[in-house]
Amino acid sequence: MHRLWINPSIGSSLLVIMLLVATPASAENMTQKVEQILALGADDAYGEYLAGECIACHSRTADASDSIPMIYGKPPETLTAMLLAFQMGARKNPTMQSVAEALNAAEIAALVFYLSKTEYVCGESTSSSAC
Amino acid sequence: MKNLTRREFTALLGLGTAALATPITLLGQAKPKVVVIGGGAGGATAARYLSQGAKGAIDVTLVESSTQYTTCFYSNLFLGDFRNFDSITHSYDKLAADHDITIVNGYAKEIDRSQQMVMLEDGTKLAYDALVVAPGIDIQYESVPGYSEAASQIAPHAWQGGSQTQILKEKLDALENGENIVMVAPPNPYRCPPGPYERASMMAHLIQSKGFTDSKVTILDVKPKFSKQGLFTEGWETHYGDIIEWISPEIHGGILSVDANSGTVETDLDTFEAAVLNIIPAQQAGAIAVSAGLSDDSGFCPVDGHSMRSSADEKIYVIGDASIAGAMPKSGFSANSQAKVAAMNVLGDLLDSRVFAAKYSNTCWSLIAADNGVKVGAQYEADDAGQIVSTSTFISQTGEDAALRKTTYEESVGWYASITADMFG
Repeated sequence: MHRLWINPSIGSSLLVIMLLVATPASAENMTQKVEQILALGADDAYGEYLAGECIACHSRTADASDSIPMIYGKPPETLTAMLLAFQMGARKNPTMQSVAEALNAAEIAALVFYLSKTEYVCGESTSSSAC
Repeated sequence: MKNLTRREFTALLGLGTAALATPITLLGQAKPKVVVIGGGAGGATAARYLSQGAKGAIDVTLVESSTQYTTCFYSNLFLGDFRNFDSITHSYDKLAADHDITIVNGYAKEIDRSQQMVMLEDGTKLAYDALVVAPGIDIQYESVPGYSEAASQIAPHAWQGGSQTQILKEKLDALENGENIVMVAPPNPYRCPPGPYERASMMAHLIQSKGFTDSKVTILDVKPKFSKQGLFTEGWETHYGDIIEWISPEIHGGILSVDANSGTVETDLDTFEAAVLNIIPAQQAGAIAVSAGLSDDSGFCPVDGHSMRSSADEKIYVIGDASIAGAMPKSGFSANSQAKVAAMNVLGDLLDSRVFAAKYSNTCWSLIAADNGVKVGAQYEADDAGQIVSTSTFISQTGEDAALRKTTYEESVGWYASITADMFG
């Protein structure tokens, strides 16, 4: 019943979670966590401040580098699922695990809503699909 | 809650005294003025975030004596032939074009704290309502017996990016088989804790790349241990055999004198001769921070970790290598992170905008050999006493596989591109 009204972006984050956690039951549990966090709502001023940490590594210039994932303009559900996956160690990168562990639920909500509204800066030589 | 109360109080206090000192700004007849001294990792970031956050409501002036900035971070990769010099050198053109920042090409000589004025060498006076001091480090030449600024032209420290980096590179490129390199590594605290050891790695990489079999890198350290020691030691053994020798102060007994002209370093243990001497002395906050009375006996500047506000002057923020930032190492990443907290607090002081609890982060990547990158890092916040403390830390592990080390190196390439774009345009 629950899944009937899940929007496509929730669906894609669920897919991400399914790949990361062992069982469908724990994936369902994660989806609920994502929804609970996003229910805390946006706070763009706070999100902008928190995103100052992200931009040190995650460039807003779309063609800067493919060695660090692109995070801007993605659905808040996907970004939340990613941060939770780092928090629980299902996805491993020491830097991102440390970053994610330092964020509480309200901070994640503020951050992901802000990031999802942030656009890439596209230069003349940009070939990325983000532009 | 305790922190918030304290922060709100501080912000109110700052605004209150600003109103007394410059009532005109509150009447809307003139914009508040913020001056940023130093266009490096911290200062350039602060100017940008002040301009972005103020949206035209503040006059932001950045004072920098150079027309371009060569980053000290990643300069070891230039020394090791992994980057060219242009790729670590950044102009201020984009910062000036894309942001509402007045960039003054001049040397800030003095701060008159009572008049809230910055004096430049050419006589220009810049009034400020808030001042961000980001002068980086000065080299304490006299901390190494026999060393001097003049000697650094022959035996470069290369611990400030630019011409020093180029001098060291020229000397390394001229090295011949059988000639040696000696580095004197600095005492804590200093800019970029793993830097000397990454540099030694790059020197050994050059020796190996040239096919030299009779040249060595000797590190004469004044510290008994160093950052990422286990990772470097493992990497040196794996990649370079016995090319790199690290000698602790317990073994060499102390640096007695350096003679740049003859290329010798005398210690209790022995006299070391080298074709390339790289002498990295002790460091302190940039001269202007010291002359303005912002530093303490350590030579660096105490700050409130909630804001990066100077402990000596509520109108002044000190960021980057010049500051005493608790558990944070002195690095370009740290300076960039601190600049954002300082900018937010300046905007709070002058525009009454929202101020959030300080959060900082840092990661220091080091390249040990081609495609062998390691990293150490942490998240930070301020405790009730205003000290910056780490809340979570991480470090690469010994024994990691080659694929992970390659990924870590590639991550650093992406980081450099992103953070320098955040700083300079």
